[in-house]
Amino acid sequence: MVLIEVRDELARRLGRLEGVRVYGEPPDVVTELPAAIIRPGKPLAEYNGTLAGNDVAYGFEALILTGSGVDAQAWEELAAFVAPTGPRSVKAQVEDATGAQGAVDWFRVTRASEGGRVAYGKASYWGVAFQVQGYVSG
Amino acid sequence: MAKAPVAGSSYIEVSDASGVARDLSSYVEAVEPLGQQVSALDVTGLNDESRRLAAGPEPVQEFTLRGLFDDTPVTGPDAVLAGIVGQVVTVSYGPAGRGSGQRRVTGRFLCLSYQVGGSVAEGGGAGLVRFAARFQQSGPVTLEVWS
Repeated sequence: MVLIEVRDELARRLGRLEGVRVYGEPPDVVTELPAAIIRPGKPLAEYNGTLAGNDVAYGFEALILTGSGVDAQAWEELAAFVAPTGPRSVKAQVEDATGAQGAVDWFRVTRASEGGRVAYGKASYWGVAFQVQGYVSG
Repeated sequence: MAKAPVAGSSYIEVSDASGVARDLSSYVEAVEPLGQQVSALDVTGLNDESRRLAAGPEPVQEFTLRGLFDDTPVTGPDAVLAGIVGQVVTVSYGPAGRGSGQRRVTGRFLCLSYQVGGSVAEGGGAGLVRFAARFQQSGPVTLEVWS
């Protein structure tokens, strides 16, 4: 299934983030931090871009959880993930097509939202959610 | 008989510089209206009480194809359209697809321009590089059906 292929490629690219545990499927409990959790985006898929109607832009949310406490170090960790470049930059690592696998043409990280206190499961974390678009030509 | 959505139905093909018809439907987002036209000739006589008209020759139609830039060799829109600027080629349009019996609008057109551009973001999404290609009629445009 193309959606799964695209999600797996997104997980592979998120795996480049130094020291981050990647969850391709949302876990019940997060046991390792920092963590990257891939969730379906809104919208999950956009169709009908061309006459043939077979291109699809898949939407994902990459939720980054950095820790439970909020202090200067937490802000620094958040800053590294939100930065447009760098080894912990979500945008840089996800958009880098080096070694690309599967059907996806390209990924674009379009925005970071919900930065700060984030509720996940029954716990509260410090983190940020990135909206990611993966484009697949028909 | 039925109405037809554009996405998933419509079909467009443009001949490349070698005269090979290339299906660009997977790249084209919009086709400006294209069909058959005639000009009106005034044939009113001195004894006519009202004006009378007759069909004259076809006026020159212009239309633009707009779509997503793609540099796939040979069959992609960049390869096809960049190679025909200034050339007269065949364009065939199937508004409801290219199945047997479906409407086919076809004719010869001079490719006036092929331009590429884009903006970085659209509604919060990722902006895509797009093309526009302008064509002008050169010869009759016919309304046929796909065989």
